[in-house]
Amino acid sequence: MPGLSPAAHLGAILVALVMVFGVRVQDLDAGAFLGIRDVRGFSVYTPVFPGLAHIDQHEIFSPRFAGTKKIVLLGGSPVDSVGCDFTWSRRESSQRPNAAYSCSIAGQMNELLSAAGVTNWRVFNLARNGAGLTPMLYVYAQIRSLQPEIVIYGDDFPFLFLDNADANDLTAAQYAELEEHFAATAQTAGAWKAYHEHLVRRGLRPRFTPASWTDRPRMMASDLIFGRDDSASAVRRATIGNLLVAAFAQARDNTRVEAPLLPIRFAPLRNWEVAARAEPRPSSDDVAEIANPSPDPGFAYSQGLTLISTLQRLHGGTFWFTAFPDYDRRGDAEAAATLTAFGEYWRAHHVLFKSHVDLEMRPVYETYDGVHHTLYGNRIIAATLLSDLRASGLLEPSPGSP
Amino acid sequence: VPVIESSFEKQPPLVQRLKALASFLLASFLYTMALVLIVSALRAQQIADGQLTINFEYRAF
Repeated sequence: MPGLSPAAHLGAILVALVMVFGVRVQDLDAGAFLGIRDVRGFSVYTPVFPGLAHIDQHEIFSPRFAGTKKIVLLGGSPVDSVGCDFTWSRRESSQRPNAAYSCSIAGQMNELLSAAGVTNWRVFNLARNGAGLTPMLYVYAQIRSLQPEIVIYGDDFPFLFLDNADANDLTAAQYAELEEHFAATAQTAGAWKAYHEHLVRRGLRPRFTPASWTDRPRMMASDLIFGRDDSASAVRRATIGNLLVAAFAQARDNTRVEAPLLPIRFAPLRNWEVAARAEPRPSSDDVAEIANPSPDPGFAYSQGLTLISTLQRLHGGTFWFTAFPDYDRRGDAEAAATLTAFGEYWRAHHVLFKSHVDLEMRPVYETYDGVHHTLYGNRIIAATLLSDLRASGLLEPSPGSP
Repeated sequence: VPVIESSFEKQPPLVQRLKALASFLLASFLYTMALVLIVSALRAQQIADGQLTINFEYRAF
């Protein structure tokens, strides 16, 4: 704009500020003007756990993967595994944890599938840091309609049963949804009743407000610009702002670096033997629960696993339970015998069982506390899980791939 | 000494005003678009950060 005076530029900037913060042109609906009717394609999906109340924002619901065969990972932190190194677990540190989807087991499995030329399968990370069996049942109920071919529940056994299988992490409304899925299906009604009654006996008190860890992330500066809107990342209207945000997200996803942004950090000076035991896991209450004398007397909590296996079978899918590597329990005959007994029960209920408790992991470099793994440990687990699937003939290659 | 006048100055005052207004409106439009782009990029970054942040805020192992 030659000839425009500095004062006129200042005026134009003022007009722009009024248009964006006053009139909010970015919130104008451009859908009708651009002929956009279906806005689902513009939603910003996430490859990591989006919170129990926002499962629909997970990439498994993206139209992009509608025709893709799905492997779903469920479980707690060893499966979620977005931490690339020990900084993820250092609560006292104010330092930003080194975390990235590409470090996770799902991310690594997808890289391995891609490297092998397998294009018609994708692994989805729906595990959640700290989650026990009951919240994962809720997650499964939410994605059940997508009929995933394979579901793998990974666990540092018997973490999934601790704290009454995290029964109190769900709201009453979420239990009502579980009823709809499990009680309304003839094949699962009995197991659901037994599972639910067991939760009640062990102190189930459903929360009426969502637990803090299911909430959306904290408000940030740009919330002030766009407003606080739960539907912000799941686009409901084709506004100019939403379309641009989706375009930025699309560009970011398509240029995703398949490596962590920060270098992997090890703790070479850490006293491994002390460090591995310094973190009280599990808590004293949980120890009492485990030692009583089985982690799941009467296989009551295991009914939860049979719920998934039954529903998976109804659409021709499979369900795996995999015991994850545990440095402290390697070679523990008692723990192995317990797992074997559970494995037999689960297999009888169509849960494919595999124990990798003894899988060798190098301290510090591959596992930083015995049950959580660095990027390098996650890579080993990813390869092991894919190997299990291939050995079972479940993972057929895409047509035309070598 | 001959005085060289620009063609702009030779134009009638109304045309000059209209051109100035058009320049101002164009500048306002471009600044608005730039601002919308910036806030959209911030929002996209916020969503990306939030997606991982929710995993940092864990309860327990």
